[in-house]
Amino acid sequence: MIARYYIGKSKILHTVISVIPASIGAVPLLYIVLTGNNLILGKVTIGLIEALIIEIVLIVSTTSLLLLPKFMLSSDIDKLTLRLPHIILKLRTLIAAGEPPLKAFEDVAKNSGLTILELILKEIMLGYTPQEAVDRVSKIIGKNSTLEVLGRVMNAIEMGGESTASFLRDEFESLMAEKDSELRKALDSLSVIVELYMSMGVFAPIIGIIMLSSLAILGGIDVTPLITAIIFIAIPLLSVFSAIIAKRYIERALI
Amino acid sequence: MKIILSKIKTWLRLPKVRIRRKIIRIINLTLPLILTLTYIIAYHHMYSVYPNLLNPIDTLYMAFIIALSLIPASIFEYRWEWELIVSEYEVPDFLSALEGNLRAGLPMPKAIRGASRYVKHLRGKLETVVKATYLGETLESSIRYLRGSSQLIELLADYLVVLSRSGEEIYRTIREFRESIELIVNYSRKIRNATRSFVATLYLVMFVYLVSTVVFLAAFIYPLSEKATPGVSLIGKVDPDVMTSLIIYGAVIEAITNGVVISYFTGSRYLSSLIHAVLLLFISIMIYTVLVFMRGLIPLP
Repeated sequence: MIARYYIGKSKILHTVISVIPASIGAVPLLYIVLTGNNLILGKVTIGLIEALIIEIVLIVSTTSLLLLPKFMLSSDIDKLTLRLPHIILKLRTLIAAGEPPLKAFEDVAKNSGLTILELILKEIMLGYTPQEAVDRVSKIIGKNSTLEVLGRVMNAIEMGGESTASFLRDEFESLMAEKDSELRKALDSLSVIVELYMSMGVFAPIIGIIMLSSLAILGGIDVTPLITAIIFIAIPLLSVFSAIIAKRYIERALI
Repeated sequence: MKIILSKIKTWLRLPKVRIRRKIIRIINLTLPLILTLTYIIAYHHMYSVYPNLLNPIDTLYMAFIIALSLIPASIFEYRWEWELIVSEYEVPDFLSALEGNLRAGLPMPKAIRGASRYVKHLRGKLETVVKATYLGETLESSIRYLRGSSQLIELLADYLVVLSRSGEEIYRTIREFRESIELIVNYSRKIRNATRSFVATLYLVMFVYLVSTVVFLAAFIYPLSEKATPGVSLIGKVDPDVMTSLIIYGAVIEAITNGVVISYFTGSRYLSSLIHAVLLLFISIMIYTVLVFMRGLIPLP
């Protein structure tokens, strides 16, 4: 599953390509550290600080590239979790309308655009039973509550029969009840995050500006670059960080 | 006369152009950058120098341009979110009416058309679907006019396709489906109500920033800079103009980031809180304008 997100679908190739930026950044840094001289490239002179900044930026790019497949996989699971109630509802409707369960799943999987469902469908096409298909995908992704629910659904699909639609209705209702408790948890966490965001993203910068200005007045030092960094770097960064955390928490409760 | 008037109306009517929402979003969100660059270029063209970005007056102009350029984005995002919510809330009513019409023995397109009278925001799309079926398209193909806005509407579209295919079981499924949809809609309503209070954070944040910075500048920085005598600086290396400019930029950044962050906190699918942020930004600019041009109006020592 995760292999599809590796560059060239190969883990080794992906790792090699990902490490290239950090390796390139290490060359000038090593040269400066070992020789003790600045690196001169035409009209540009690179000192230790500049080399260090370049290396940090390139290490961040390498780490991002290395973590990208895991992030994509996690995003696929999140999408499935978010849409699971809709998927179960659609499956139930199709089955209640008289469509064979497996055909209904095929229809849902093809129209959903969800990678995990497409993969399960592919496994079924290869000859595995629906339950086996989910088990195989679970082995690749790892244990996950969404996949457990999906496993139960696939089990019902495999068995077929009259009770499949009513089982799916119960499953949908229990999923909604679960979402309800998730919402309560998410709201509690969000309240804490909002407080954190307010104190870190607003009050801290204001206190920082006032304190730095007082220091500048008393000590005669120039604090303009520091205040500029607070306003143009710290505030946006903290906001982005808060937005990412908030999104992760609220998405668990959303449908 | 009436015919001539209607013909003139037809000629004057603007052509309906359907631009993809994604493109509108990209244009809207790049507008601040485009307008800021245009302002800088125009300033250079007029005065042969670039605007001093650390001068409070130029900063106020910049902030005003950014706030102005954010108006389309904030209006569109708010409207899209509102339309989405209202359309989703209408789905159970539509299904209820559809069930009644189908029970009365109406064929599917007529039943949809009849049920569409009970909804306001979905009506346009539903009528387009029905018109397409009258023109010879199958319901399965014409349902594409309904798709695209949200997961719930997608589900409704899929369900209408299932309904058009199914036979005897039709009534049993429609009631169950409506009940499930009601469950989802009520849950969405619950989320919206529970997270609504987070919008107040946005107002609180801007209020705190505005009050503390205005008091800091008017009661601390400006008096110290004005009392400086030649040779003796009471304000050290702090430049009041630079400080004012940086604080105005801070207000712009706080407003924009708050608008985005609070939209995430409220679980919106669009940046609907941006409209509050832009409103607060305009208020902030007005207050900073008073601070820069008419300081005497602020009752501080």
